Amino acid sequence: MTLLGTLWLAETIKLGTRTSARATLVALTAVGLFGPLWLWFLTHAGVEVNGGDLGAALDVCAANGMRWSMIVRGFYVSQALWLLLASQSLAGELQAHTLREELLRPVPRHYVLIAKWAALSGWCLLSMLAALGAGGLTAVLLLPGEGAATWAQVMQGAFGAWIAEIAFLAFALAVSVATRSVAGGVVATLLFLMVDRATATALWLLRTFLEGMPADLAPTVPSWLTLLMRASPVLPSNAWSAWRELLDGASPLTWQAWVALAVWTLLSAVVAERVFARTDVP
Amino acid sequence: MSAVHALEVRSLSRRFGRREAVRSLDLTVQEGDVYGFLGPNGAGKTTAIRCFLGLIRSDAGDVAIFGDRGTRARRHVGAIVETPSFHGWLSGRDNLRVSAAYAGLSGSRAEAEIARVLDRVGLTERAADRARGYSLGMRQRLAIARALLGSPRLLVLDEPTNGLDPQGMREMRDLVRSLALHDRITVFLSSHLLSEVQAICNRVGILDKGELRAEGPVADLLAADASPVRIVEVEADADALTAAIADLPGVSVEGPGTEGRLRLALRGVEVAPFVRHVVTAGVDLGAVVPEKRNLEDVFLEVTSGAAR
Repeated sequence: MTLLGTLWLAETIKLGTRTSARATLVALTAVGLFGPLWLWFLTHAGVEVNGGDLGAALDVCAANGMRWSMIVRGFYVSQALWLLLASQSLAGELQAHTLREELLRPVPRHYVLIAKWAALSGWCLLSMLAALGAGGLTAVLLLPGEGAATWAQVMQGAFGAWIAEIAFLAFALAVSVATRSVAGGVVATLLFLMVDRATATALWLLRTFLEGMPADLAPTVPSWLTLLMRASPVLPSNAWSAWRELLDGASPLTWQAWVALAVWTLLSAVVAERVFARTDVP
Repeated sequence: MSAVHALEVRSLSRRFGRREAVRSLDLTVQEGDVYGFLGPNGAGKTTAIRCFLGLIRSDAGDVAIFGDRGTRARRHVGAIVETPSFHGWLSGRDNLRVSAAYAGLSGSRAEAEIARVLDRVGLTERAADRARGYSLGMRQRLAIARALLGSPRLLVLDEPTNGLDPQGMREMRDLVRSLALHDRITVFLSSHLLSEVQAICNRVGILDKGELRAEGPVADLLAADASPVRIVEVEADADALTAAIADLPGVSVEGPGTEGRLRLALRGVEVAPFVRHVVTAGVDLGAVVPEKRNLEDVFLEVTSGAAR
């Protein structure tokens, strides 16, 4: 086995025996069950909306139940959990001095980062498969019949979500390296996410406003404002949500968001490597 | 052609803000040495060790371990830096498995190496227990086991007896001695316990305020007595002895010595003329025991000299 493979295995063993990692796996599996159970509940609860049965208005099928689970998972739930695990894995080990013991070995520092990222990515895949397995089985049992949503969309969406989540893990590791503190890393990332989401919302509002303007006023919109509106897909939050289009079966895809996802990930990797190479290990 | 040294440090410097923690440090450890690295608190020992091991960057200088530099150099080293840390939720054996992976060992080779080092430090029976349940002594032994993974040629130990009880300290001292003697590992030992260093090490370096103030074989440093004062313990009747030395310039009573003897300081007076004088004065001497200079004296001389 290559050194990188050995390190990945060691990091996976470490991660797999960590209580927080196991709890993450359980939590994300539970989220996988949530969609089908909630859809089944709404269908059978006899809830009326605007005088009609809510169940009749919903796309009641197994694939849609699973789709709901994916949407809940993507709404900061997985990000919060991965952020915590990534911070523990790097900043936590720096603070506990256990990373120092490993850096005493003849291993290039970027190998350590790659091994940790690969182990977290593997854990992320496992959580996705567990959620799909448990949620899918529940959905098939509780929600028989066909609907608008398809399993192909769910599988594409799950794959896209996994890519987005491992991209986010790279970002979380970079923040963790830079802050060298679990609490600092978590707070910094949450603040970043809030600012990023606020920016995305502001851009959306701006676009909605400008698009709703009377045609005779449209030429007065400055070109830089139009350009700014177009920047929306490249914001990190939108890049990390690019998989939603796969889940919804949208066509064509917003390619800018996928390119932005790749660029943000690459940038995270470069920052993490550069900073970690210069970090004095206490 | 220059010989390959176990550790060769040239002009190593490291500054933290305005404070120069290590200043142009030159140091050589020969293969087979048990080298004691001494210095008062804050002298820069741990900073220097961290620079050797690549944990922190140096501002200037060069470090070679068995001729290799950077990451490659660490192939030759096993180390304990300050208080060793472990993944508490993992067993001792699993902690070693993680470290073995970082040492580039996998599969049956790793398992064999783990069994060897556990046996070497006498932890085989407790290897399955979680590391968080280990006593301080066991943690130190596990740290030594970890440092021994991959059969390093140089063992760097930074304060390995910190916090240990006397029994634990003796065990650690015996282990280090045995590693040097039987496993032929070069040992670089940083410690505050000067008696321990004197007992184990053949060479020492004394660091103070980031600079190496003295370096050499322990025997040479002990022999190089620059002090004009010689301390002797004399077994005799205290009153008669005090009266006899009253007219001998340079000799004074320092106080009580061990085993009921009197402790005298001889300034510029050799032991033989002193004995002659006292015997001539009619004092019956039971014993005259010159106090041997130890590493503590050398250490204090070197570091207090620097303070002046």
